[in-house]
Amino acid sequence: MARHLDVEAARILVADSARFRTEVGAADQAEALLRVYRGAEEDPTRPFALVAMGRDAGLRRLAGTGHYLERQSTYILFESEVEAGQTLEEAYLEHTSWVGVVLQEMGVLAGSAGYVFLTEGELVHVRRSDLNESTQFHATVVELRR
Amino acid sequence: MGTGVFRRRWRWAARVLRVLTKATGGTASKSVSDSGTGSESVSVSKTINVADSATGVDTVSRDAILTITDAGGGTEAVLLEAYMVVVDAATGAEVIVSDKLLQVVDAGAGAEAVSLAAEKIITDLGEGVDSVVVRTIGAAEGPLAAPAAALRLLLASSSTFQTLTGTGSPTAAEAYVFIGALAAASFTRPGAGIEIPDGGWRMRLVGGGASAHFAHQGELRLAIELDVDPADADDPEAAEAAHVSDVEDIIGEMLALAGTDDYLAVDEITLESGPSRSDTNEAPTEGDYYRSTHTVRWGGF
Repeated sequence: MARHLDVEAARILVADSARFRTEVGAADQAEALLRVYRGAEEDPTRPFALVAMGRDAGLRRLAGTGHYLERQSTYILFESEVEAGQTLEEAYLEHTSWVGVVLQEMGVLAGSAGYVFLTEGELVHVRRSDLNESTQFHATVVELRR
Repeated sequence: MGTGVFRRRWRWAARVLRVLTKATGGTASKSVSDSGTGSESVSVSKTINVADSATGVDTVSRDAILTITDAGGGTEAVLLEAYMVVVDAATGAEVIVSDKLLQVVDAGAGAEAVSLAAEKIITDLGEGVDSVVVRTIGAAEGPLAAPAAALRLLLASSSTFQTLTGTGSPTAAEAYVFIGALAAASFTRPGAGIEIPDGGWRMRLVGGGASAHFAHQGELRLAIELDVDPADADDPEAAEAAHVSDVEDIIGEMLALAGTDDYLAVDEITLESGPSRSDTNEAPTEGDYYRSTHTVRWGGF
């Protein structure tokens, strides 16, 4: 039976992405999970992912039946720092490239043995930190649903 | 028997052995050394064709290495193009690995312009379940960045855009297309900017069973900025009409290419805002220009 799309199931999907492990320098799932935070983190080490329950989670009654459909959703935030000397474009493409590949790999893993089943994913936004921030970084938020 | 006869027979036997084992190999080497001061034009072409119509299991390995060392003071123009084409019309399950490495080492003081565009075209007309994991165009990869880079290539391939930017090729015209957060950027004009808007990517599960997979689609924001012709500066109608005409030509040429070869599969281009003229207060510093912002809906990536 497919796992529920809870925070832990989404964390494992992220941690088992080969590209995510490369980005955070993790050798295995356990090391990668150290950079997939679950909730607010005081002083996160970038690059990282942060998983939280989505707004769409809940039960919906199927019209005309006595059944309820469980709707599940999680948000994932990915952040990575802008490297010194990078242009706006270089930093933007580097960030959106690795996050996109991670999402692509999560899509390949989803539904296979031991992984949560997904039906869709959607970009919420890509943002760059305020130029006044001492550390420049990009942040991408996506929502996954089943 | 003399030793001359023995050597001839040995060479003949070696040739027969090579034919029987079908082991073939070739090495091509070209070296160009330039220690003078003149302006040279150097062109190197290399073509390797492997045609296999037999049933055996073949291993084909191709390496192409081109090294350009410039220790002189001149301003060189270097254009590298590499094409690798694999055509598979048979039923076997091939494993195709393509590695391309271009390394540019710049230890000198000049301000170089380096433009890289790598395209991979995969056309699959046969049966069987194929797995293609990562698509790379230039420095961009994955379903967020690669469509943006593909849109840049599509725009840069418009002959009108090339004319307006004074360039003669897609590679040169790509330098006039910025990718990134448009609010934080000021890009070269005439030129364009591309960003991934909020909600600009989706993946949805399609198919069922073993053929189930995620289809990627999304939208990109494309802002085109073109200078007002000084002759039209005091004629707003003419200035706007000229901008609209140029943008229409660009979009028409993009749509003609979209979905062909390796160009981005564009479903729709809609005008999001504009055309709007720059604030006259900005003219002294920012120039006099029109901007049109479009939403480009893509799919099939």
